[in-house]
Amino acid sequence: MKQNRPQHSRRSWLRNMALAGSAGWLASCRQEAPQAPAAPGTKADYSNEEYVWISPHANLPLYKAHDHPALLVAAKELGVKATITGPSTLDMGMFVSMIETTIARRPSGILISAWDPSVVIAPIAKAFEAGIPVVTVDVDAPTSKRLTFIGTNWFDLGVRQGEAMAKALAGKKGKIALLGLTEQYIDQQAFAGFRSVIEKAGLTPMEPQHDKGDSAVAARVASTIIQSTPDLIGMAGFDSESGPGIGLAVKEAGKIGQIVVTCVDAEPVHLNLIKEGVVTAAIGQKRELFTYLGLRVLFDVNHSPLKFTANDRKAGVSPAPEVINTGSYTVTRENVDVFLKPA
Amino acid sequence: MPESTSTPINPPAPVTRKGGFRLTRETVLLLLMLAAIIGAAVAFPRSFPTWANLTALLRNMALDGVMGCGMVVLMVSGVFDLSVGSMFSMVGVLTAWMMTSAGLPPVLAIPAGLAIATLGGILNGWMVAKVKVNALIATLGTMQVFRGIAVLVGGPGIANLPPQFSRLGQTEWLGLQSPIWLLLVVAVIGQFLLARTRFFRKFYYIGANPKAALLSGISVEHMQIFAFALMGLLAGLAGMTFAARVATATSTSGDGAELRIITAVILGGASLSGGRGTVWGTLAGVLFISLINNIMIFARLSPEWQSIIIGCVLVIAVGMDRFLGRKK
Repeated sequence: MKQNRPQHSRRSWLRNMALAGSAGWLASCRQEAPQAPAAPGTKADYSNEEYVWISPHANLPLYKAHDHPALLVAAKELGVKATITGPSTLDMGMFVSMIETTIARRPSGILISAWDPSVVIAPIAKAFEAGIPVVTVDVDAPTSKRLTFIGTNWFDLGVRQGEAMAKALAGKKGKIALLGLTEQYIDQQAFAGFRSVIEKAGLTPMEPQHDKGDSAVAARVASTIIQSTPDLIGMAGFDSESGPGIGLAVKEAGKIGQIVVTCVDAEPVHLNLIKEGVVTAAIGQKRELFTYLGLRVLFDVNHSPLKFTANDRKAGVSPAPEVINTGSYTVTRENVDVFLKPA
Repeated sequence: MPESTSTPINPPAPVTRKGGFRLTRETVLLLLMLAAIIGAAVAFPRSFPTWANLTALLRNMALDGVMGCGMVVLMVSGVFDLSVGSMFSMVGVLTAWMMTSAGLPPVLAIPAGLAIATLGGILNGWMVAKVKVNALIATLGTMQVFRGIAVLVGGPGIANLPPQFSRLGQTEWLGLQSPIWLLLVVAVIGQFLLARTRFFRKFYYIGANPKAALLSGISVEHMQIFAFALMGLLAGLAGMTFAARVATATSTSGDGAELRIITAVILGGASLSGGRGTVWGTLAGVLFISLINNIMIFARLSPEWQSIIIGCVLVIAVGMDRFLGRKK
């Protein structure tokens, strides 16, 4: 007769595993004690500090080319760990969930690219309650409890683009098409800045059209706008794929020189279009500064000896600047060769 | 399972009715398009009915049409591929990388890129046909993988492509750009193969009843792998052509293309459950979506309303043939 294995041994095994797991989890929840200052003449070891960058579309090519490398450079200089995370899509639910999971890990600081500012208010508040400093980079959440925003002022970027457009059109009158991610907060800021300049110049901005952040869609939309608008004299793109798409549409319609094109970002594809004379001006962002300065701000918040009150946190005084505007620059045919050379 | 040595039963010919006019989904679509064209021509007489607008429309729908020709074969056989948009981007990027960083001439990089595309399709086919993973899950997975590869290799984009390569996407002949000619060639060949050849008509049989198809001696697994390989090849060809047209390979191109193409194929008469669909119907579906998008921009509708209207039009167009009592 087969001897039955006693049931309680499997039960007790499961119980013991559960207890061990809980003990391990509780141990990991223990907050790190603040690090004692380094003895004079010695370099402090911050290698146990982790700073986390989170954004939707975490694998966006622009991030991989600019933001991520700069974050890792800053981390190396400071001797801390940097982690890059976030959903690979624009899934806001997943984004919030990942922020909250990150908070539970108790990092030394978090850099968030807000994308939808309203969505991150609650998770940033949770981070604040947990004593974790948060900065926003690239896209701000101004009504949240973030310490600092580091990024481009998109209204100013729109103004810069508007100035380039108005200058190139030199008094001509007609319609200007706008393409971008129309529901995005930063694009809306840029549209407003752009309109504030071109309307004063007597130009007529059209209703912004969505290009889904895809140059193929941008080309499709732009080519239809070209056909449907006889008095079109300019087109402005507001996401990194708009410029290439608009440029393609203008080229294929045989309208180079007849339609002035301006766009955002100054990647090789945009610079080549300037060189070809298809695009008049590209407004570049200093994206590396977002994460390089963002991590440094968080590090300083954690380690700076500067104090404004006996308890800055209780007093609601932020130990960091409110906003760091990293600025932008304009690339035209006059200076494009400088940008085309490798750095 | 080895193929049976008995003669397989002929796959069913597409249903036709002698004499009389039959309201199929394709004819409903064509009537709707005609109504839209007439309406737009009346509303925008100077700018809509022009050669420039027509060529722009055709140019912009061409590569969706090429991919649609592959998707209809899959959907006729009862499956679909969600990775086509990512494949489009990945192959464009990899081909560009081979020409710029690896220094391969276009005459070698292009076949290599097409080979990668076909292998990607075979991978999808193997997972679905041999490993029996659901097509939705399998291709959802490869969609992520291919997109990740595109971003890893392509970064913010690979520019400065060789002029001999870019010319392939930019050459004009008789006033039409090369992507349009590519679509015409693929569509004519595709329609002939799907409608007239015994081999391709087996896909209808597989889609209608895979078990019966297997019992009648059709190697369902091999046929499915072939269909996915063909889809991969066409998606890669489309991606390469787009990179040539723009003279840049971008890792974000083709995002969302799969849903657009599947929608067009269904609009053109195919069914998610398989067994029906034609290349001409697919092209009608692709043209219909492009035309509606074109007209909405002419009408200056905001992007939000464009999304709502395209959704409603699709439901109406697909619902029309149910209402008219279409025979299965």
